[in-house]
Amino acid sequence: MDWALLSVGFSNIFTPGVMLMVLFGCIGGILVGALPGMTATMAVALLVPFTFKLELTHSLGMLLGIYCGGMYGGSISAILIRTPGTPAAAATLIDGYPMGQKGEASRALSMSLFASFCGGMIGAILMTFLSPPIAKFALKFSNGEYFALALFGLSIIVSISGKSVVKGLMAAFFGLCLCSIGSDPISGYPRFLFGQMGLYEGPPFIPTLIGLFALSEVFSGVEKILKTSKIPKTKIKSFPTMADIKTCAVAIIRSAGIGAFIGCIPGAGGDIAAFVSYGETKRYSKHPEKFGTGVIEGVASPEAANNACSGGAMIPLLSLGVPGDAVTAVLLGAFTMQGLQPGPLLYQEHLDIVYNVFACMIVANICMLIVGALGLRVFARIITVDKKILLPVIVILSLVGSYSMRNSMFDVFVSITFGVIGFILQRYDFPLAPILLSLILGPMAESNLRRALVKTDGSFLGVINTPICIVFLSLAVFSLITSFISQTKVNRKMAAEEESEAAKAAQDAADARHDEFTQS
Amino acid sequence: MTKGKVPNIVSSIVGLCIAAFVYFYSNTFPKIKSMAIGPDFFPKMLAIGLALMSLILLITALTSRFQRGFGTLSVKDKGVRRILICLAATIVFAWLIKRLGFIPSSALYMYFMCYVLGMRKHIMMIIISIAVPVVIALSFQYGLKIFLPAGILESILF
Repeated sequence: MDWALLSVGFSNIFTPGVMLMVLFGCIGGILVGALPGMTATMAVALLVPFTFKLELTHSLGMLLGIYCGGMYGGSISAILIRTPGTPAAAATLIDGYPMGQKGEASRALSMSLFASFCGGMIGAILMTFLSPPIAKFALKFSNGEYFALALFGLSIIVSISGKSVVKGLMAAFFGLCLCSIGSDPISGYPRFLFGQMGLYEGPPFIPTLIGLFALSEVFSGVEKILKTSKIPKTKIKSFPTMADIKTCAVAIIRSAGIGAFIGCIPGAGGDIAAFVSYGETKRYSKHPEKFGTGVIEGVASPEAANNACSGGAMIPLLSLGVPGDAVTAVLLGAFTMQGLQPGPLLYQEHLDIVYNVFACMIVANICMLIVGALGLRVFARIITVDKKILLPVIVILSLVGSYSMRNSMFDVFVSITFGVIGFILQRYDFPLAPILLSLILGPMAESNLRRALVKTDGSFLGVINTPICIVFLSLAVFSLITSFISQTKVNRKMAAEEESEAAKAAQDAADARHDEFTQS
Repeated sequence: MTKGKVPNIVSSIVGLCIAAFVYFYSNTFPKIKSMAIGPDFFPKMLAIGLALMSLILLITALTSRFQRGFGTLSVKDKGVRRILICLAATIVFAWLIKRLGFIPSSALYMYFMCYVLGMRKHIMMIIISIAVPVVIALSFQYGLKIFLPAGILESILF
């Protein structure tokens, strides 16, 4: 760690030109990240051309501002209209949206911003100090390790299954079956296409996500439009209260650590980090049964994780030249356009630029906090708009978001189809979050398992016998068993409460009939 | 409200049907001589998993004493009829986007949906129906360089 170079890095960043670029990047990233269907990857890809004519440091400032802003921006639409702006915000909506419905949108948004800032800062600091040794560890990940990581991520499904573990697992298997659609990752054979070439790469992820979460909620809103009570207006606060910060402090720190670790594994992005940290926070909580109903830790932990992941994802990018996630893959291209070649040589030949990146990441997170806090008052007002206007606007934005990924009307109809499927599934108590998690992890699990089995000539034991695999698989089994036991206890308790309420209601009805009879 | 038993039984049967379809359709995938594990391996494993979970749900539904009830999805219910109208309108809107163009089709859709959802301030509805699609189209075109279908406007204006 070279403190002199780090201070030079900060002095290079704290110039009016660079700070302006960081500011523009944050604003652009938040706005695009908040739009349904516009991922942080798309935000970076769309805004990269603006950086071509800028100096290197200015360009770095803008790109990293977009990255940080985009990862936070996804939570805004997740909380307000149940449509994650980025896949990494999908875990945020599990508790964020119910909080909005209870009139606590401002509280959820302010905690989301604060947790994103804390997570991003922790990720940036870890990136600064741990970049070389963590990069060496990430190099040891082979196909078996990725498969084990995917299984560990899938084991979280039990903890996000809501009331019924069996229905959660059914939803997960359904999601995994959807992943089988498309070309086989090893042989390229087209599976379950039924003549639709639009499915060749599998069900398009963003339109599926939009359909399952946004359109299904619109259908639900349309049904209940006359019964919906107005969401109470609350005082808008830019920062969470000290009580909320104390409640979420441990969850934020733990989730940031998880996010940074997962981020530095190439190919494992903010979405995986968000769900894993959500599951862990729920497991350690004293009231796991409240998760999913609007719990502040349920917003803080995925947001801390997905923003910490951005710092973690920079580690393999800078030290190995291997992008940590889709956004850093675009950043790799942007760096190359600027004449930089990320990798081991970057540390030897351009160490000053590496420290510029570290300083820029830290400053971008601070800028995101300021911009987000100033914009919060505007964002929180959105859900007070009349639902008769808001619902059709959500549909239009959702269909536009689905269309814009591939300029394809097929994706729009996929989105509508999954909207119907999502509505019916939710009606009969099937949770949607496991489907989403399966869509993210299924391809990773299958492709890495199949490649690993090719290497070991079909021996499954040969795939999972490395120390890293054993650790992840043990964690997965432990996570499944403990989540299942605590979920069963919670369900038994809730079933007993519901039975006693039903018995009480029946007794009251019988008493009322008896009173009526005696009076007559 | 109907009891949870019947919907859970139906759900488990649907799950079993999906699992059976996936399993037997996977049998049509070709075997690859150079690979012990072919494209049918993963779908078959998943189908077995789905079938197992569906069976557990079925057994639980048949044997459990208390089950949470669900709301009905009957066409007689006004809310369900509204959903069907909304769904039909959304499908027509999606079909019209390429033909009429984004702005005209969105304007029509917006006005229709506001009316179905109970809004009756027609002047406000017209203003919103025109303003919202125009703002979205301009934001995407000039802000994000994403061009939405112009439809008949393209032939009229260019």
